[in-house]
Amino acid sequence: MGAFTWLDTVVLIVYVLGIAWVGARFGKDQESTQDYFLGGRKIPGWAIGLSVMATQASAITFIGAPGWGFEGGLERLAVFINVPLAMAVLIVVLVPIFHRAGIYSIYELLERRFGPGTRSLAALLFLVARGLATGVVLYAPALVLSVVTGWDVNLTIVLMAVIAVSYTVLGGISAVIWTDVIQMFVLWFGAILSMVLMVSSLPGGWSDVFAYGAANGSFDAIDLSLDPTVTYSLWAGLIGGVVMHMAYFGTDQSQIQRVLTSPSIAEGQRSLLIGGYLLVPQMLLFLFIGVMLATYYQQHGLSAPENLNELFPRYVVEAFPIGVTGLVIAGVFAAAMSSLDSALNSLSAVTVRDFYARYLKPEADEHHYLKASRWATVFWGLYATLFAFFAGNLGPVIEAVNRIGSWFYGALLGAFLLAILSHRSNGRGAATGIVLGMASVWAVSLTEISWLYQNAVGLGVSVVAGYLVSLTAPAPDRAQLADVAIDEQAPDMQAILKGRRGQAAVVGRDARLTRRRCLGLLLWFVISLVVLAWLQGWANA
Amino acid sequence: MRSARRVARQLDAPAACSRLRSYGAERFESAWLTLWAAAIGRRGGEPRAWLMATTVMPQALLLPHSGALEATGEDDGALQLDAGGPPPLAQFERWWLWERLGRPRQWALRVQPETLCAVDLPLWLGYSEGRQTQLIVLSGLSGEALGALKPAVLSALHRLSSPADHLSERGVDRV
Repeated sequence: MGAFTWLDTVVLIVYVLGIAWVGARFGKDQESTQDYFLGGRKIPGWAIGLSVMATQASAITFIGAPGWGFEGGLERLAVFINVPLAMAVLIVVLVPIFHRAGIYSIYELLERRFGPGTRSLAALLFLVARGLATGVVLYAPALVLSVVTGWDVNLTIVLMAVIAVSYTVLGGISAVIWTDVIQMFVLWFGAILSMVLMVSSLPGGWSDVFAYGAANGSFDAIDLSLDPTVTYSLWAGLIGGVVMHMAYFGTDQSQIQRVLTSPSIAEGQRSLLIGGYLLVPQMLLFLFIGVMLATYYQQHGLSAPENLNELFPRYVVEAFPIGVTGLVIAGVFAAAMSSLDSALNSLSAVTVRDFYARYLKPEADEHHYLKASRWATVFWGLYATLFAFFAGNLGPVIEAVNRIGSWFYGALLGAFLLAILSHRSNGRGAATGIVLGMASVWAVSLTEISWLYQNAVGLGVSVVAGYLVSLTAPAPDRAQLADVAIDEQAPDMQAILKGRRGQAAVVGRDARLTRRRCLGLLLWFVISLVVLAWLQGWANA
Repeated sequence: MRSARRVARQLDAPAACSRLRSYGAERFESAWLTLWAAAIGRRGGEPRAWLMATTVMPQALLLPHSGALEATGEDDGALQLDAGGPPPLAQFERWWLWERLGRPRQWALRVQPETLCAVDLPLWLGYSEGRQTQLIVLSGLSGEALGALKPAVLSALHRLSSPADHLSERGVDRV
């Protein structure tokens, strides 16, 4: 124990090569082809869910959340407590419309509804936002590599960027769902092992952790303050956080792509559903590890590293048994690669589809577009690398990623909600709404108001301004509303459907799968809140 | 007038009934939706999948299917729906490109132009009665709800209901 030994290096290399081999081997043969075409239908739902979790934020969570919990305890959970609510809204409102519209890029819907200008503006915002966030995602494994090897972090950023871009250009491995599942288990194993090791190294065991947490307010997860400058109040999480997560999971192409390409609405909803259930407990686990690390540092009289992102990787390297360290660090690398692969791929796909094939080379053959998508991957790799050099100054990586999203997400979501909910809104209004929404977010970011509220401000301004400006231009025609107006509600269609219904056989009792699913998410939200309130009440008693 | 091949129905009425019930449907019927399909595969090789679409669909349906399609069988009494004409081959190629850019795999596989044909896709249609009658389109293969096909089915039902197109019922204009 105490260092990253040669055995750990061997384990790390074998693991990474093994995962790469599995990806390359099964990515080419018939089994994988079937899996690709089936959209994972032959794979258990839980495996798909874990795969979704792995591509979303696992490495960032593993590296950033313990440092975040170390600093502020469970109050940071306010950022994520709203995820089940956001997922429920997405499942009920947005996913059926996106799916029925038959779109490959989420921004295509905006073009049909508002025209090419709004589509390009929204896609551009996505590219800028996701490119910046990818810089933070790149920084995370680079930091781990720096901790492990002792090399300068700027050098490891460049190294990781070269590996990630090459890996994505060569095809990546994220299409092989089982490698993602392995990664998730390795990370969770690392998390649980760290808890066991920390508790066994404390004289009082768990009671030390709970005593420390209670004494320092680390279990105060629910802050009911109405003061908008309180960053992690429950209201900031509910008002701003819901908007942020709805926008992130619903309008960010890197996330919604899986839903758009799934063969049915139910499958598209499933990944959101699993995220809705698992994200909060996963975040709670890693924040709790942060509280345990704070106890551990206090009990052992240690000083925390200046950069709290290094906290947990350092602990893993110093405390884990030889060989296991290598395995867990390898899991972090593999998960980071999966996230980077997914992000770089969606950035390059949007660049080619929404800009290159649209404005520069509309009639080229697919070899040309494939080549263009590879160059786009290299470009976004460079863009992310440049930003990664500054990511260390942004504090905990998990907060940095969400803060970056908050600059853009509210205005973007506003454009989508206008498209779907207001049949009077038009391209002029939507584009103006996006611009004014972004401007209002920028103005709010100069104040002391919690960054979580930026999302709600961006949404509110974009919707209200977008609607009002829409009134200055003609209403959209029927064709522009085709994706968001439900054809079956037209009187002539109703007459036809009633006629067919009269001839059809009887099914039986009534139930609604989607509604049941969403009720489950609402219940999960309430349970999470009650558990946190109980923990807080117990700690303060 | 055209002959169509078909994808074998894999979901029987009781299973469809149970599925549709969970989506809130009170009544149901079986249907065949005629779409235009182009095989995805290596040149001269077995089709790995089919892209299925019509001119009224903004996105093609990707159907995993490594075997050959069946010849159209006897009239089984199911509602026959014609969803429109064939999209140009270039459109199929573009759809396949977007599919792969979204999930960059299978670059070796191409749309096979010579395979373009009309294909009947098995569906189960559910009807739920609330304030308005709602249509639920269920795949006759997987039993999943296929919202993306709903515009095509509604358009076909509309076409079927207009007197000029009544002759497109099964057994009248189909060989």
